[in-house]
Amino acid sequence: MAVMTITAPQVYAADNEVVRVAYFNMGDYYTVLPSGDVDSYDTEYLKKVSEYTDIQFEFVNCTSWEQALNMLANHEIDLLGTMQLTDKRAEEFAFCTSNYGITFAALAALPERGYVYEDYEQIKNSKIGCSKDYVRKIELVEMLKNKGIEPDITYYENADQAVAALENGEIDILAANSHTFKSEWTLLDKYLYTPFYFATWKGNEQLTDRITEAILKMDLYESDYINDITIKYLPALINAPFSKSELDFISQSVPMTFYFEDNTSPLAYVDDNNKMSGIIIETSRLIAEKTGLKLQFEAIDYENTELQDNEYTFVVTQSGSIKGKQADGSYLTQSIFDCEYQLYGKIGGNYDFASEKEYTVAIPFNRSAFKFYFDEHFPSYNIIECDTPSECIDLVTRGKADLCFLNYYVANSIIVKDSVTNIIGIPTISCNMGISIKIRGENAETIASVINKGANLITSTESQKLILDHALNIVPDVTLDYFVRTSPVAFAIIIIVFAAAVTIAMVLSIHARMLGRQKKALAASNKKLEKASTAKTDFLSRMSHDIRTPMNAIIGMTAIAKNDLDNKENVADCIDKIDSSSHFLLGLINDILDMIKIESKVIELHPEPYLISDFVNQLNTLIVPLCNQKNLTFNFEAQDVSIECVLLDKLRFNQIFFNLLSNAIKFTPDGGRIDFIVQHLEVTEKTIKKRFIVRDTGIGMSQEFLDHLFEPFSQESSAIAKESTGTGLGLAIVKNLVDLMGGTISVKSQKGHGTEFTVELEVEICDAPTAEAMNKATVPEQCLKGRKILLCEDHPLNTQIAVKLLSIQGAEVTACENGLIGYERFKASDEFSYDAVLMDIRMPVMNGLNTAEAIRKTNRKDSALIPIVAMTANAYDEDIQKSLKAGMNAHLAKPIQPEKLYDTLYNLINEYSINKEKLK
Amino acid sequence: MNETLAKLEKWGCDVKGSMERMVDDEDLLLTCIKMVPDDESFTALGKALESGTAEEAFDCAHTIKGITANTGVIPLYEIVVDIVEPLRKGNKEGLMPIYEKLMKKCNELKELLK
Repeated sequence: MAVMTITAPQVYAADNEVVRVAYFNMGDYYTVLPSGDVDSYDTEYLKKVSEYTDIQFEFVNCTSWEQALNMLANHEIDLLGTMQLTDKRAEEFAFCTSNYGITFAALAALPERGYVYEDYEQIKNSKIGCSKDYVRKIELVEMLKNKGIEPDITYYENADQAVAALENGEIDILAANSHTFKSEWTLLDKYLYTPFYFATWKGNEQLTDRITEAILKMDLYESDYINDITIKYLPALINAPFSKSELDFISQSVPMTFYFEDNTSPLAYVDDNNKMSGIIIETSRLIAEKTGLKLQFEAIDYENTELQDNEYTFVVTQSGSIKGKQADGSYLTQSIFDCEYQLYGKIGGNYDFASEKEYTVAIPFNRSAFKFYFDEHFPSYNIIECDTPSECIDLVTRGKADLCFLNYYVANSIIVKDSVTNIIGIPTISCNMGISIKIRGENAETIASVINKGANLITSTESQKLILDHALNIVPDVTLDYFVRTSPVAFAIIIIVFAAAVTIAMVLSIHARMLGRQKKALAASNKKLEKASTAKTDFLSRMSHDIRTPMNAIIGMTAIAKNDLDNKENVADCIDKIDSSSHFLLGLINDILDMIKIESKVIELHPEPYLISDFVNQLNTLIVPLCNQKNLTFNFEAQDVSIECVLLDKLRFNQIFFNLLSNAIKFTPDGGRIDFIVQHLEVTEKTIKKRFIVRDTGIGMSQEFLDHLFEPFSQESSAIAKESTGTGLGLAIVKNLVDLMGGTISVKSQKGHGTEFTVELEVEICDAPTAEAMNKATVPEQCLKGRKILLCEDHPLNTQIAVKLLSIQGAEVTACENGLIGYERFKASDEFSYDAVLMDIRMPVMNGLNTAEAIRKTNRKDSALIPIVAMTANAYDEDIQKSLKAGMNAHLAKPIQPEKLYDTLYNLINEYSINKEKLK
Repeated sequence: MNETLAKLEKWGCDVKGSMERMVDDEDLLLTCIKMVPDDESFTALGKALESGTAEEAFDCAHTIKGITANTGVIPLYEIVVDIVEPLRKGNKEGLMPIYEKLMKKCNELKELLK
């Protein structure tokens, strides 16, 4: 028999383990694409299994189900999917102990016959057929009898013949499992859900054991993925088709209006085009799209809106509460959008949730689920209803209420957009709730059922995208550092991984330290300490919120990009968003690190000679372009520059002034002016006292705000701040650094007129360092001692220099005159014997880019991690991108600077030494 | 400083910078500089400009740029840059006069090294 083999889309190296998987003719279950790849639920599922097991799957055409069973028995294939577990089969084959999908026993008819779902009157007078081996034939007869139908069933020799009989009209209805159906057939009934499994031949249990383990892990970690492929490949499983009454209703195209509140951005709000928009609105639009319902949306006005026929509104429901028919005769749909609701309080408010205190909690109007929640958990609290979520927050701000209870997205949006600085989420008191639609009237049950079916068809990717599209405006704009760094897109991913790791580590460390402190505080029952601890809790929860928003964006956008790789525009858009979110996160992390250091007094200054001219250069490269971008005039005045060098911690000094200057730029509207003035106050022989003034013509600050200016997370509410918010840590850091340097900082400001910061510092005068001192080595001598380096360089002169440079540091160099020779050498060497590869780009026979790629693709333990450093005279950004894309770790421009070369190799090799121990 | 190196410095070579790159090894620097005028890329560049493709010419010019930069032979480096850039864009026209200038300087270097 001719067996056609088709490799699964993922290609692995030839010597990896290959498992042969069956595919065959079965409805629309397996599709062979024009490329020859098999597309199916199994293909997608096994792709993930590959990631968990390293097994490579190859799809083999077995033509029919019966033939596939034969081939499995004869060891011609190794794996057969869609198997239902029966005693007889368990004797013959080895099954995975976990199922990888679900199917159901069902009835189907050809579409032109006009059958509709669950219309038993029609089924009663029909001829039903199935294969004689159909595993659910007993249940079929039982089901028909239960519905009062005397079964008249024709049995066929095999599944193919039964299908042929349906298609040529010999029978009206086919009984089989749903996954064997063609998508155009009409589903009439589903009556028995059963799991299906992968199975292998007896004696090959180690394969099913490994797959079972992967399935268990996937159930745990990949539930969204499985959910999405189930919706894509087995939609009938999730959703029953519309029944006759539902189809009748949909076909009438009755326009229906859903009323939502317009002050709950990002859930529902009126957009710039004066249209209702938001996560719930778009979710409802998706439901309309998927079901054919005609929906429109209006803003509800509780005082004046009186719902007419075909007009419905929403209800917030506790998860687990009973949906469907309600006491008043209306029908509640299932939740169309679930999310977190949280208690919010005042920063520094000394709450005690364990006691029976009578706190006043503000909640929005029309949230009976909230009342139930408080009745259940905090019966002593007094509830006040407000017209809008903003009003709830406002009541807490003004002290009229102790707390408020709001949707996480809505509260965060208000806090960020209105720059509310004194309200904070209380992370321990939150719960999940859903949003349902309440349907009244004679068709209520039908409409609710159609909406439920539509809601079930929304994939997690779709809903995630909606959240990001609308909640992303919560992510504040990035600040100074990020404008000036045009970061290559490729780094985004690295940054994310780094940022995520650091963030988690830091949050844990802050948390651990806080817990320690909290304990002590309680033990001493010292009120003062307790207060400090509350401040830290505030800090932590505020921080968690700030980290969560960009992190959500990063994770979500990555997921969206992954699922839509072919759509370049969309992917680019996602990457842009990931880029800005990860930069924001990185900035936040840097700021937190600084705050932690300052707060725990571990920050140390490292004064070194600093040339005034260097500082001016930095101003020119960093600050002037930012001013130009915003069309601001930048004026730098320095009195008496005869003293050209002082002792200062460059990094911290720059941090102070770049923070102040970037704030000035941020809060000054287009066309304004920024002055930076340096004055000499007192000059002694050894020291000089300088005054630095940063003055802008920006939006200014109110007196109340000035009092809290240097506290962490202070940001005043303003029109401009809405567009340009930072981490809120900048000024707190500046103040601490100035204190640390023994200086003073003061501020004058008038709302609407501008702000002036004055910093006074006394610094030591020093001699300007010599050129040699500035170029001193940063790596130890003999830093490459004993390291083996593979050098690919075609030009003898360059080879000679590179060999000399490397051997001076104690490295052993193998020089190869082109990439191919280098590649062969690498392949022939023992694993982990080379410590790094130095790669010229332009070489005959095989160039550096191809060589690096080839090395990375080699199937050996060290191929993925060995440092590869590009060297080329092309110092263009594009060339650097190319070498990074080819898998190289770094790029050195020719002529090679020894310090740079040593530094790069030393650091990369050290990192590699740590990592390779794990791989060995 | 070695006499030849002093002469080269006067001629325009960046001896100080190159010595840093050669970790202060005068002999190595001299050996390397001596290899420059004999490099086959010079003749190959001429041939490619005359009858080859822009890409072939670019390869040669690029090599010359690399070795002259590495050895600090600035007088040659400055000329070859003017050849590399048009070739990078695939433009081979009108480069012959610059090439001749390059070769003239190259011969000067040979003389100096004798």
